[in-house]
Amino acid sequence: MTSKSTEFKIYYRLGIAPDVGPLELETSSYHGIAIGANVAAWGQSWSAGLLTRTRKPFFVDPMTYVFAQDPRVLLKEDDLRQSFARLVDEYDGILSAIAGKKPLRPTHFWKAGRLASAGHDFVDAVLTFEANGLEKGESTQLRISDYLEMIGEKTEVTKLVPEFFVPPYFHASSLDDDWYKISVAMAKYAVKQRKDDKVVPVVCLSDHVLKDENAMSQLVVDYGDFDSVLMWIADFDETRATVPQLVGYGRLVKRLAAGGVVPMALYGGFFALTLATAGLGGLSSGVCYAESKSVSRQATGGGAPIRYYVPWAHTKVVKANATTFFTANPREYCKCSICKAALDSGTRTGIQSRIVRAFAQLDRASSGRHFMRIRSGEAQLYGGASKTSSIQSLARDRRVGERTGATTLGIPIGPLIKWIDALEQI
Amino acid sequence: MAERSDPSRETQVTWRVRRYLIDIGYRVRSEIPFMSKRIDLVGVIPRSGTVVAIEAKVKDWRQGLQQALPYRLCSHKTYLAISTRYLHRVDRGMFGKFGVGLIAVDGSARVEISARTSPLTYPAYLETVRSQVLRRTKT
Repeated sequence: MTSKSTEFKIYYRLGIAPDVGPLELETSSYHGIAIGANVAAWGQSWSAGLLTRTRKPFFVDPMTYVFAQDPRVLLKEDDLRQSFARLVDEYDGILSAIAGKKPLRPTHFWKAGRLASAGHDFVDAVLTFEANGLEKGESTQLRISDYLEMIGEKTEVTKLVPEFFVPPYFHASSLDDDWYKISVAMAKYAVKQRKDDKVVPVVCLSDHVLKDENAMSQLVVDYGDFDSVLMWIADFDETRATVPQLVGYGRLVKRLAAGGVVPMALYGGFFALTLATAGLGGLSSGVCYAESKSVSRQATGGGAPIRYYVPWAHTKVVKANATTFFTANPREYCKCSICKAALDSGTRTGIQSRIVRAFAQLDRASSGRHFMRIRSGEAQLYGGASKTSSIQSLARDRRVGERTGATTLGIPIGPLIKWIDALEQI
Repeated sequence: MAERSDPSRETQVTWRVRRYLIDIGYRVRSEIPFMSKRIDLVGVIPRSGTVVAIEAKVKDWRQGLQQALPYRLCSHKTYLAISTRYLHRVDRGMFGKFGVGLIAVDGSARVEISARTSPLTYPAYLETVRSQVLRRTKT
């Protein structure tokens, strides 16, 4: 493994409304924004407003895989979820007839071993949406800009152009699956259609590929002409994965990077970040959530409890466990300015009471901002580190966990142990 | 071989502790939500407002203690209740360290280690939990 000096790119996925605050306030802590096409279709003005204000690079995840899953994942009380209904209007074509009723089948796009015209049309529709889908939102921004100019405030509105285009993609259980061939063909067709733009395909596969060296080799061949790919191993949760799975993931990164393709993780967390040393170029995730994803899980519309990112454990835990741990180990309390401000040093109560109050009052925005700052520091530390120094750093973190009795206090150190083990084998 | 009275299921542990708390004057409710968790049993003395929170386990005291520790944020005293049969496995020092009490359960329940008053109780959490018990036990 060699250390890489290029910037490790962190993208945050725009998901729930409370993400907007941290994304606007912590712009120096990340590279860009990932927007699900359904979110872009449903919240055009909202998304465009955020992108205009932050001036961050972005890409649109076309979310096409979801239409090949059980249609129930798209439904809410028997109706298409609003955001997907809007997206179906945008993509049109075959989806208008089947979305929410039947899943897409490979035969809709694949005829006689090649991409049929319906497949070409679908790629065109998806790329057109990525290029222009935020236009309506942009026009709202322009109107706001006109108004601000009228009242004497200068604003600058630039056209929202994605950093790169993401061709339609589908989940494949193996490389023999027709959905794999269709995804590759659609990616290659997308390159022809967007000659002047960067195209970054998503490789969405089951975890079988992590133990299949031949499949890894084939991936390098099939995607070798792309500068970069977004990897999504469905259901791969780096905190729960076994050591062989983690090693397989690292080897896949290494193989792609060695083949000249910079892999990025479409959903990734801290372990993915440590793979910068193996050639991973970036990752996307939610703001302190969504570091892994199943292809078949139904969207629930948020409501997850607020989690707090424990810096030394590189893990998110519920507030109750964070409070328990830090009241028992006040010296480990985070020193970032968000957490320090929350500690309310003006009060005269003892440190334990102040920590309890800080966590009781911790909201999603503060938790998100803390996470983004820590993640940015991690990207700097691990993004350019050698494998040896990454392992040493994780070993120090592990000792913190052991010294503080973290497991009893509700902070798991099992993932740290597995990550060290895996990194040693990659 | 286990005594007939030894609880073999968590619900039996819970039920016997519940009976014990009621006998000594507590109003008791089970499955009280607290943050992202659910407390097995919460008892409140109506006159003083004192709140105790109980985590019940048959034998896994480590997991029980881990689950019980956050209850110190919303109660005056926190206990782990465990079957008497597995009491010998418990590291009592850990209970002393965190101020969590221990209740042994066979045919009945008895306090093995008294809990210390929590220094971590957060008034808003305490009130939320207490009001849920008092509200839900009104007749």
